[in-house]
Amino acid sequence: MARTYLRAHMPERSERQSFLGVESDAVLAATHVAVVGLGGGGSHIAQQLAHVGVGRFSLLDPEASAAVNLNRQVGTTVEDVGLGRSKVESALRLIKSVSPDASVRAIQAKWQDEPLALRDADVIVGCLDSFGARFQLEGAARRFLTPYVDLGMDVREIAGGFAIFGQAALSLPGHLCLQCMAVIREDDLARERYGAAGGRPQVVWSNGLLASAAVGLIVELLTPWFSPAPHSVLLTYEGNSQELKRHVWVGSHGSDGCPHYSFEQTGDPFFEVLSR
Amino acid sequence: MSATATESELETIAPGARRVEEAGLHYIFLPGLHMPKGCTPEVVDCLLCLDPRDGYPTRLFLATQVNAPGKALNWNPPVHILATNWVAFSWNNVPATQHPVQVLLCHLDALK
Amino acid sequence: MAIPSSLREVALADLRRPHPFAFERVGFFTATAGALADGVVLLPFDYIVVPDDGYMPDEEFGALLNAGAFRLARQRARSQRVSVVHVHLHEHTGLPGFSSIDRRETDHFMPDFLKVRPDLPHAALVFSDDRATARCWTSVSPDAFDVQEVVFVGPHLLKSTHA
Repeated sequence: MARTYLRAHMPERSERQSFLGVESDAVLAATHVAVVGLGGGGSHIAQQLAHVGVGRFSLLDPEASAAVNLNRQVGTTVEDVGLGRSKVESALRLIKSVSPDASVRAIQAKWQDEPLALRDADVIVGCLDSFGARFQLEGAARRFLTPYVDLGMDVREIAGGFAIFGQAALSLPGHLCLQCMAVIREDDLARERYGAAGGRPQVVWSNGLLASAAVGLIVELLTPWFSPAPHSVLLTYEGNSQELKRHVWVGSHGSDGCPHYSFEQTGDPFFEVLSR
Repeated sequence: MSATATESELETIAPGARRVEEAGLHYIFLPGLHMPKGCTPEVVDCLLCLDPRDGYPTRLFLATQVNAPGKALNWNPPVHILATNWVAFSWNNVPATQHPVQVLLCHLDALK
Repeated sequence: MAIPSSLREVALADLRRPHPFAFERVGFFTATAGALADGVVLLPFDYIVVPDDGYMPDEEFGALLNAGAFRLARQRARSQRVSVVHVHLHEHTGLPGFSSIDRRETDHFMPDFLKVRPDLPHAALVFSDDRATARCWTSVSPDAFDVQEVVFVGPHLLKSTHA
C-alpha cells in the first residue's frame, strides 16, 4: 500500500509503524493487555505497548518499588522508592506519559486475588519470578482462551564466571504450552518448594531485550505484518553471546496441538448463571 | 484404577464427586467434603490431585483454610486451579499407589 | 465469546457446503462459560454438524431444522453440562447482522435450551466471511442481549465488536 496513502489515513504518531496496516491503529487501540508483574520485565512491556498504541491495560503487582528494583525497573524513580509507591502506579504513570488516552487499571494485588481482572484481556503477559506462579497464570489464561506471553530470565554460575539466559514464549491456546516447550517442568516446580523464587539476578539489558521480543510477539498476534503468522513461539536468549533465536523444535511444531490443555477444559467448571 | 472407578469410589465419601482436568493434571472435585471431627468449618469443597504436582505425589486442595484443634498446619499461599483459588497445607508423601479413598483419608489425617 | 480459529474453520467449512434444498445451513457449537467482571463469556469448544436429513422444507423460509436436529443439541446441553450456540453464515465480509427473521426464529427456539440447561447461558451466532455477531440468552434476563465481542483466537487474533 502506498506510503502516501497510509500517511494520509493514520495519525502522525503511527507513521513509522504504518507497515502494520491501515487498521492497526484501531486494532491496537481496542486491545486489552493484562501485564502481571511490573518489575524488570513488566515495566518494559508496559512502556513499549504504550508506545505501540495499545489502548487498554490491566496492571497487576502487589509490591511497592524498592531500591533493589532501580537497576532495571523502567519508569521507577528514586522518589517512587522513597515514597513507597507501588510498581503498578509507576507503570501507570509511564503509560499515561506516552498515551494519555489509554485506559489503565492499576491493581496492587496478586493476580490470584483479582482473577476477573484478567478474563477479558486479549493477551496476558506474565513477568513473574516463580515457576509456580507462571504455571498457574498460563492455566488461567488457557481457561479463557487467552494468548499468554511469558518472560523469564536468570543468571547461573559457570566455569569462569556467569551465564545470562532467558526466554520469551507465546503460549497460544490450541497449540504448544510452556510444558510442551519445556519452559516449565515438574522438576522446576518441585525444586521451588524448597527455596524462595524471588531474588534471582536480573539486569536491565536482558530484561529489555526479552521484553522487546515479547512485544513483537504480541504485535504479530494483533496486526501480523508477514505470513504465515506463527503459532506458539519460543525465543531463547543466550546473554553472553547476545543471541536471541527461535527455538528450532518449537518452530517446527508450534502449530501442533497441546496434550496438556484441550478446548473442552475451558471456562469455569463451577460457573452457574443462577448463582450470580 | 480407571478414572470412572476412582470417581465412583470417592463418591461414597463425597456425593457429587467428579473428575476435572487442567494442565495435564487430573483432579477429583469433592463438593461439601466433611472435615474430621472438631474442625471448622465442618464442610469444605476440596480438590484431590492424584498426579505428582509441585513435588508432592498427591495433594489435597481446599476451598478455604480449616481450623483443626490442636494442629498448627503450615498453610501454603493460595493456588489458582480451575478458575478458582485453593489452599493446601504441607503434608507430603501420600503416595498415589493406594486406593483413592485411602489417599484422601491420609490427607485428612493431618487435620486429626 | 472467544472461539478457537481452528473451530471456526471447521464450522465455516460445514456451513459453506451446499444442501439439496436449504438455502442456508446451520450448526451448533457446544461451549463452556465463565464469569467476567461485568458479564459472562462463552467459549465454544466443539461443533455439531446438522446432517442433510436434519432439515425439512418450509414454504416460508425454504427450509427449517427438524425436531431431531434440535434434540441432539439439547441432549448435549443436558448430559454434558454445556452451553449451546446456534450458528449460521452470511456470505459477505464485514460485521454481519441478525436479520429480522433470524431474530424472530432464534427468539423462538433458543429459550428451549434454557429449559434443559438453565444454569448456563446459550447463544446464537452469525458468521460472515471474516467476522461474527452473537446474541445471548440467560435464565436471569428476560430478553436476549447482544454479545459485545466475538474473538477468533489463533495466530491472528481477530475481534468483532458489537456496533
